[in-house]
Amino acid sequence: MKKPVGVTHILAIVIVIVGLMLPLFAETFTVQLATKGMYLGVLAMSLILLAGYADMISLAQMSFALIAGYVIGIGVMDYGISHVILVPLAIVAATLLAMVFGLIAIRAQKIYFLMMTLALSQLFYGIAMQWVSMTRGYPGICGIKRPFIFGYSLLEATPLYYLTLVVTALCYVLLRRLVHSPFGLTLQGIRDNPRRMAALGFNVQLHRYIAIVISGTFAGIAGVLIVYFTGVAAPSRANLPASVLVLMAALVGGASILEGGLLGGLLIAFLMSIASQLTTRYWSIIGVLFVLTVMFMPNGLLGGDLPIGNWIRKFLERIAPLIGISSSRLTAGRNSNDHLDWK
Amino acid sequence: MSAEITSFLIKVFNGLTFGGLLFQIAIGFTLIFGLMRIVNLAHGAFYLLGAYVAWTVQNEGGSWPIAIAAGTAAVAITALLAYFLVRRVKGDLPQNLLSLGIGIVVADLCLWYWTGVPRTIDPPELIRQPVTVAGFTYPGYRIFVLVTAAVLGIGLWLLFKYTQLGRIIRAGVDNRLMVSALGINIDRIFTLVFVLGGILIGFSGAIGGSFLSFGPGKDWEVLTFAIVVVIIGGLGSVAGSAVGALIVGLVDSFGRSYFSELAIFLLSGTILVVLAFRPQGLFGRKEQ
Repeated sequence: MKKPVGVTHILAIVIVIVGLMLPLFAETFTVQLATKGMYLGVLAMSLILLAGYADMISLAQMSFALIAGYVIGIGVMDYGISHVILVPLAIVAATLLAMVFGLIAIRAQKIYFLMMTLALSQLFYGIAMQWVSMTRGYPGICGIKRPFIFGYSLLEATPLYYLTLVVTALCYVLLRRLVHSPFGLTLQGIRDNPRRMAALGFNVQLHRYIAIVISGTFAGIAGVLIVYFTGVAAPSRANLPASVLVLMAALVGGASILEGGLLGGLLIAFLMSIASQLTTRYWSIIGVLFVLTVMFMPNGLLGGDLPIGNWIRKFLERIAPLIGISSSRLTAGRNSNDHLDWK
Repeated sequence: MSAEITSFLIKVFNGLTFGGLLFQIAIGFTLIFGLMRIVNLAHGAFYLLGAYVAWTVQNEGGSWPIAIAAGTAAVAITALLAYFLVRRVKGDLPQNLLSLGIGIVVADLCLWYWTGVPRTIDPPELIRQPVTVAGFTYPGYRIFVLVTAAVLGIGLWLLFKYTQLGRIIRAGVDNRLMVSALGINIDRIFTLVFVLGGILIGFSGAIGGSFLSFGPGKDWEVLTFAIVVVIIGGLGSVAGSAVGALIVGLVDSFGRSYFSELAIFLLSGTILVVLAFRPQGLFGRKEQ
């Protein structure tokens, strides 16, 4: 109850208002950047479900996203299937891949889990590269047709932005309910003390496995958004730097709480954009930031490492009663151990 | 010799020699992990750096051995600098993530300085010549890589078995707290081993630079190979790395010729089978 920021409710309101209004005052470029930030946020949240709530840092999230992209790309371009069928199919494909990866990776823990997911995602990348007859190899499937929703083409920035906003909000609400459900609490119990949970009769490995699968589902949802944003399903979307970006988003925002993923996703999207305008060496900047984050801010912006996080929390606690939210709700619904246990 | 036997032999040798390179790649990785529990995710970037520096030295007129030495030394220094950062954070995971960040920076700086063109290093004529034994001809450099791997493996084995440093490292792998309690400066040993890991991967980069062409993206490929080898062989075990490297090399060689497009499925399958029966790898010890 002491350290982390409990800004969730107010942050949510501010984000929803700004989010709904953004296309009205921002340039198309900014809207697109925000779209990118949001799907990165969904990916980061799917990672945080594992990293923050189950102590399993995965580098395979982009593989789940990419397979969803391939399902849509191949379905639309090669078979002309409707998006209405393809989207659920894509998410199912991501879930199935997560089931397969999970079966292997579940045998490992902590750094071994990280390594295992790294190896699996690289193998998936290799398959995407080599299976040319299916995936078209390195260039991938380009120019994937975007559908219309209520008569608006998703090729346009604003409709896609609103779709992404709705999906992201939905993912957040679902994930939030999940981590506060009995399942989520059990998961956190397992993170903190797997032996005790096993002794209490919980099936530790099954809970871990389900977490991986659910995480894969959400990464798949993000994958659908990515395809609608870029129109491309190519192996490079799932290479290691792409996965590192997701991890980076989670770490910067705060890998111990879902909100950290959203914040991190937006921050990283804007940061990448600014950095790539300034220099072609933006990966170096990302890498240096990564190093600095790990060294000086391992719990992320919302994890309570920086005084600024506490300032925001204090400020919000003070203004909370003014807008009709009791300040006790600011701290409600938080788990007692919000920090990644690095040991 | 009939054509079939020859082509089969070529596949076997392709696998063995590639395994030789994989062993050189994996050995530094597994060494660092074994003692320090650090999964050095900058490993692939170090490989790339070693290859690039060797390439530059050779292109500036340096002889091949000097190029190899320069590549090795450059990575050794980089590893030392990286370790100063890595030792500042505590805990397994932050150290791994830190090395990942370092890897990204090193690889990006390599891309900056050497651009994105794939390159190879030319080995001297002497070891490049094809070797013919009993009517079977095979590229000399690949044999050289296999021999180097064997020499490295035996050298390390001797180092671990018969030198004081080796004894300390072996003891450290078993129980680092006890070793430091015995009055040995484990910090210095850690630094030394991290640099030794750097030397090994820098060397393998310089050697491997004539075996596989290298460029951006090779870093992750090499890291993946190192990880796959140690997952199969067992983390922290030198013998495991050797066996794992040979298995991966052979599977890769035969997979490529018989399954072409889907060779990588075969590799994934191998990992699956190994993990199904021995989750800790063939030579790995069970972690508690």
